[in-house]
Amino acid sequence: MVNIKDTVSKIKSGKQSCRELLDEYIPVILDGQEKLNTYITLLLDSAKERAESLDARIAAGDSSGDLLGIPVAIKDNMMLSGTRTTCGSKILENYISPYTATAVGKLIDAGAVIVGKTNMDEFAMGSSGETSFFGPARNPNDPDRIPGGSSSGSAACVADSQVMGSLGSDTGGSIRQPAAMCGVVGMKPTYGYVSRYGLVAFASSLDQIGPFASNVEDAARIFTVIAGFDEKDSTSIAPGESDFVRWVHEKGMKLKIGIPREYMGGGLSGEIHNRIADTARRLERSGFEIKDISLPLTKYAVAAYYIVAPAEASANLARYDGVKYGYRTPSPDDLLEEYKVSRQEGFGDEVKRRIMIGTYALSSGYYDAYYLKAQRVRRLMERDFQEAFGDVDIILSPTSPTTAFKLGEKTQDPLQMYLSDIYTISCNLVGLPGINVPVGKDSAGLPIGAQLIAPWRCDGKLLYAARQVEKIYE
Amino acid sequence: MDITQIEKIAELARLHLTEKEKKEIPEKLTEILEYIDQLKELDTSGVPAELEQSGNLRLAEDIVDEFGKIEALTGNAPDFGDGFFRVKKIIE
Repeated sequence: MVNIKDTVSKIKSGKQSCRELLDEYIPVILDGQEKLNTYITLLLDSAKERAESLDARIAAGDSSGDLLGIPVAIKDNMMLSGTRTTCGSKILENYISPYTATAVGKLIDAGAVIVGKTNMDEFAMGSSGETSFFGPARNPNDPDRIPGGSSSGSAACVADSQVMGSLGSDTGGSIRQPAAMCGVVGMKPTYGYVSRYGLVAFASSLDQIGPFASNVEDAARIFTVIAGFDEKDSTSIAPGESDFVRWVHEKGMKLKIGIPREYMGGGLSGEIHNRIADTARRLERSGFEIKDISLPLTKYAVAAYYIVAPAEASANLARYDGVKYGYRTPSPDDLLEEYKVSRQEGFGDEVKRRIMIGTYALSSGYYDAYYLKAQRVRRLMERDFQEAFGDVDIILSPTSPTTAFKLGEKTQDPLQMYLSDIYTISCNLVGLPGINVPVGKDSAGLPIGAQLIAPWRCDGKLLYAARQVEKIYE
Repeated sequence: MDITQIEKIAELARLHLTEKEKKEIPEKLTEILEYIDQLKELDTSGVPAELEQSGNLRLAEDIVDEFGKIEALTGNAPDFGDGFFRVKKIIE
């Protein structure tokens, strides 16, 4: 299996040029875009120029960069100066990024070649990719099925081998859930480890950028590149270590792994349940201790999330008024109508639904009962996890209650769609790092994902555990 | 949620609603709000409304930083000219 490290070595030793490597990927990208609608904007011309300028740099004796020549994609809610950033929305259909997001800039500094900006649910609000204004991305394992969401294109393009890695953003599971549906590794780091500067804000206290890759080591490598303190993000924190790849190669560290019973009950597909239980048994045989644990507040996670996320979204999305940027309706009667109609025409149904919920939750007389209440529940959930992690090192669970469902299957039932994130949402509410690791396929040939959750700021240990799970299924 | 409430929220959210949306939104919103209401079962009295770990939050120094690419910002405006973002007349 090709990995980033070997590919970079080949480039550094002159066995392959960046342009040659890119040329291997371009037909796969074009074919994938045709079949799977993975990108909102392809950047192949600038990628070619970029690869050639890297080759010139290498020829001049500078072959630095941990991602030198590596083709990657970024979710279309991250700024790349001079390129379109649509966020999957009509309202930003023609928005040109005035600057580059910190995480994207770090990829570029490490030598990566950005081939395109991936499809996504509108404003990252969705669990299937289907709310995209640009049409849904499709699952490479079965194009009649959803790739998961909201980072639908970023998961699908890695699963389809169009790129060696990609960036997504995870507000309630938007990296881990599509990673599970597509059968790739997807990591949501500790809140604050990756700068949100240049990421279009959805729910600021939950949003976090993270990597997708075909294996744990590559994910750790990309994460190492993008992590770090950033003055431009007021919630940024320094990770305190600069090499997360070493955790993947760590040996012999014993872990006590907890399986929360609330994550293994009603609503979970039988096949996924059995696969997670089997993963636990196999980890036990490899010398890890497995323990049944409880996270009693799990059943409230989706409810708390659907207050906090829409409330913060309604505030963040107030800026789209058709004045300074974004879509403006052609012939309004007055300024107020201009705001209202531009927003009506520019936002899709799900975004409007969430703006409405959020506005309601923040409105006079309801703020305490909804937003403050949900914030207090987050604190209780944090205690839940602290207690669990007093006893175990890592938590193992399914990533999603089902495998990839059919396009159109849940679009008419928002609540059912929301419940697709039931196992991933808690990490965001509490700021914890989590990762999806593929654990084989079900009887229909669809990928199953295992989720690992580590204590706050234990992203290294998370990657170590992820590697142990990955080994079982190699 | 009834239509009067929905219209009030839409007004606060600066969202025009089509007739179709006025029909569909109340039912879906009510279903979601009923689901959310299960939080009422939890006793949260005396529980802080922020995470323990958010003690890390800091304030940035209030320093003006040159951005340098004004056109990259104003170029995104639907109607910009003479140094102004142009909108509909707001004074009669």
